[in-house]
Amino acid sequence: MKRKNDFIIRKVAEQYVIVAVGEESKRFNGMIKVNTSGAFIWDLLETETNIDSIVKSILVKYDINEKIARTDAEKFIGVLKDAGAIE
Amino acid sequence: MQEPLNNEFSLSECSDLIDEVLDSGGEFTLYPKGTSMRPLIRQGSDAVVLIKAKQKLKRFDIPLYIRSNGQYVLHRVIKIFKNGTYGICGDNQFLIEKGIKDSQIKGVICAVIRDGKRINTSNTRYKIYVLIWCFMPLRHLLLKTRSLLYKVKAKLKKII
Repeated sequence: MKRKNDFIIRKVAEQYVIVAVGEESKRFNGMIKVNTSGAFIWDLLETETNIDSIVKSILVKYDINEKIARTDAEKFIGVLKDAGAIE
Repeated sequence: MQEPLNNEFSLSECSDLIDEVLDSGGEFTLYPKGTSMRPLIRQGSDAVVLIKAKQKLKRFDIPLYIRSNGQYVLHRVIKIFKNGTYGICGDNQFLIEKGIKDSQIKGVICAVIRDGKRINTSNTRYKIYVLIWCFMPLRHLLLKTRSLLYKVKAKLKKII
């Protein structure tokens, strides 16, 4: 999976948000609020990746156990999929 | 979570984001605050869809513009003056704000989302609303009458 180019992440008032631009914004007109670990996962999605690889990267960066990392990553990926932000 | 874009951010905080989305040819949906655009826009329930103004605004367009004090305002163009500036007024107001320049315009409404339904500004019912509500003498009369009724009601409450 990989993030779509017509979704961008920006910082608004100390909060990361993901929004759609261009034609995609006519379909998805909301925003996805993202914390720093979400922003980290978003960066990983710049190139083709999978959930196992994302979890591995999270475990390198953050001091959390694998179960929590996987649950959080899957939850966030689910939100992105629902928004149509990844392909 | 998908949430309205400016539900918790001020428009000035979203300013760069609005520019980026509109410059990309996209649409930016926001939930306006205040009562100045009633009855068209009801705070908390109705949203508006902004696009970039590609050409000079026309009479009855609704731009999002920035006042010289930095305040973001969403009101309707009522007059276009010979010097190219706009006279702008909220649908719930009758005093026209003059001298708004193109450089102050951030975007223009292409649709209103009311009760979850998108109403484009090209919609016939919307155009009928504009024709009736933007006939300023009628609006002036209605708003003045409403204001008078409120005052009478308040006085009656004090007496009773």
